[in-house]
Amino acid sequence: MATTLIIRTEDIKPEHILELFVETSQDRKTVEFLKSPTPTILEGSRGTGKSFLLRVAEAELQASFASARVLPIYVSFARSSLLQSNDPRQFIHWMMARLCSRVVRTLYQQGMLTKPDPFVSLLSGGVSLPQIPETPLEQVARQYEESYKNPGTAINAAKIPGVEDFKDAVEDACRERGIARLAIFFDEAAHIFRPEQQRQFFTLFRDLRSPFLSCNAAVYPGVTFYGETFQATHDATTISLSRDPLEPGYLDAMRDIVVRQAESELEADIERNRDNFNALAYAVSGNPRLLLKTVALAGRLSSGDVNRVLKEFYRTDVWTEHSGLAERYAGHRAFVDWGRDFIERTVIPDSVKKNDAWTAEGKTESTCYFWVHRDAPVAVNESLRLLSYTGLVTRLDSGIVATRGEIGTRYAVNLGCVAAQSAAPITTLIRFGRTLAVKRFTEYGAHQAAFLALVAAVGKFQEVDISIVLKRELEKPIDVLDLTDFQKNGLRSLKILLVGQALQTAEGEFQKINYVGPKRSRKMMNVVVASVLEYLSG
Amino acid sequence: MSSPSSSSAPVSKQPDIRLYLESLQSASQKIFEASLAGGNLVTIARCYHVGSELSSWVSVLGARREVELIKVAAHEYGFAILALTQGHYRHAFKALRLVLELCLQAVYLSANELKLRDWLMNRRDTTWNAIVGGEADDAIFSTRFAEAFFPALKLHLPHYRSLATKVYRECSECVHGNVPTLIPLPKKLEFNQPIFDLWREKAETTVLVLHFALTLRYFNEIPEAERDAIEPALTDRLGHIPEIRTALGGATS
Repeated sequence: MATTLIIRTEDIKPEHILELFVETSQDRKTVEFLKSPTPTILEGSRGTGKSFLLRVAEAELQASFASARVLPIYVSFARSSLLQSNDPRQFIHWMMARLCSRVVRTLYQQGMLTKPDPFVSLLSGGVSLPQIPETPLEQVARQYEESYKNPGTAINAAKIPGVEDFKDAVEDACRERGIARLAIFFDEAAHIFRPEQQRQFFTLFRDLRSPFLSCNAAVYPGVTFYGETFQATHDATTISLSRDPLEPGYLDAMRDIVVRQAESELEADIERNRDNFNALAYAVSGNPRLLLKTVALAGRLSSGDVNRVLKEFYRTDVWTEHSGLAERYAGHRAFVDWGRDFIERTVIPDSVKKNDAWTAEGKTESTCYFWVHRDAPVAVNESLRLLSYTGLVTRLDSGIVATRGEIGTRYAVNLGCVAAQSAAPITTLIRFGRTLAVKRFTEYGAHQAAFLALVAAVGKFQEVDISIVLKRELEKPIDVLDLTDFQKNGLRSLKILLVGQALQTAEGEFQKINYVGPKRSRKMMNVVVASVLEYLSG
Repeated sequence: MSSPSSSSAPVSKQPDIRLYLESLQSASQKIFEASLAGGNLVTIARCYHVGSELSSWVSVLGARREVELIKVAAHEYGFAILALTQGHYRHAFKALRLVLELCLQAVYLSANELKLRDWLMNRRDTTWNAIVGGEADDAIFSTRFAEAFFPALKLHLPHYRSLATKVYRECSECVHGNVPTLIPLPKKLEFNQPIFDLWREKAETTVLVLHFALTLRYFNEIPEAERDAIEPALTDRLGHIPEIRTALGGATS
């Protein structure tokens, strides 16, 4: 029955997008932002509906084009992971080529540009057809296309148009054809494991600002390498797509998402088993794709089925994708594995213990929240970044004051993962719906024992088969590190001269330097680790 | 311009045949205006762009012998659009069927060099049934064909076989001239919005089938660097098929 639910936006044909759109007030606001001239960045884990909302904005602008004259252009950079080149400009050219070809294609399909087609032109049988000269926009598109085709050969930079040339061509095209502006929607915009691509993307995003272009992008949480010119607060409005399970209307919206696609039989099953469905909806912590997946697995939504799915899916299946990252990005294996371990063996048991105790005491509070000190090892932040990419944890807010006035970042663990550990997950989840209190969180300080395993694993990069790029970074002198001269001299006095040596040194060792105690040694180590992190899975 | 007359006083009169055809042409001109008015312009632009998509396939397929058929298909597609905009609806549907036939023929023959050469030398006929017919022999939507060229698409074969068969049968109605049940052609030479829209729908289905068949047969043989030429069309037309999306480097399910 329910197995025919469409789980990914990409599986939906563009013409059906609006039929499946369940409009919450938050989603409406997001779509309006995307349609407006304000550059908007949509941030959300996998499956939270980023692509879907971009497609909705695109479809609505397309529908109103005749009157509003704003032309939507959807560009996906999903293939960027296939791009392997040592030329840093290559990625920029590739992005520009993709963007230009999309713009031109949309204009062709809109009848605003016409390409003389060689085979169709044969029709004229020698009679000369009207000459359609290549427009500047088509010229720019063609030049970009040619620029990145042969990565081996040297490119004559003078022949490649700049971003300004593109903007000029767009302006001309808009003025001549009565288009108010082009609304660009970049999907899969910045690769989570390629900080350099992230920097180049955001630099381009900023450079594309023009009255005739509005840029919007969907990115994963943790895509934070903005480059030198892009400033997240000034250059775009960032909207986080995490749907809070506690906000009013949450269950209805999640129900509607399923019902839009459901046949009457499934709709009736949902109606008859409201609590069971609600448990599934809480379990996904706001992730529509996980909801569609788990509903499809849960048969007729009986308590037995739903409890079984909650246990099976959230104890093992939900981790498959996360653990799969370790295969694809071998350099990050330690971070991926530790992250899972930390959540499963530390955070979830701690939360469960608290919740059990509060229930026994008759308190009406529960938690799935945790807090990590801002001076925690940078490797821990990297692990948490990967967990938020796959949506197993959600980063809620930073600058949160905890015990003894210490400051840190607050996260939420996926509710299904917490509930899957209990004997009756449905009951636990429904209780969460009534009792979760975000001000109740488990604290993990800067020197948490659970962090040690990761810290110990991080120095070991050199033992595995590492990339040339990473090797080069490790062989750089410590001068490249963002440390004070005093600290650098201190490292030299310990005979630590290279980044790789610093990385392999225990943090405590740094404390042999004058005036360096536990706090400063942690900060120094964080600088060292951060300098090589981005080269791990290049 | 006058014609010779038997009477002594020459009368400047258009030949009847010319007047007759001119009146038809003027009716076609009116249809042409209506076919490009308002939202119909975007429809025509979108349909016209299909020609470029076929050209992109031609460019990535290079010097293969069967490519000639795809070139002819692109050419005939141009005629189809011309017929559509002039109100020659029957011919527009017929041309659409020819485009479908030519492209699927190219895909079918590409898998068999001898049949291809025979066909190109007019020594062999192929039938629609041989090209598309179920699981039989070497039909293009058969499991055997997919296993040889793009195994991941096996799941989708029945759907596309059925689409191909249906759209072919529907357009055939306009060839045979029997009682129309699916495509109610107007009897007069006048603009007809429902038929115009129906042609667009059939063209979209045809194009979907063509891209699917070409992808099934050739995608894995096209070097990575050259796939960019067909990527935009494939993403737009077939991006909803997870296996094709994955092949293009996109997200997996």
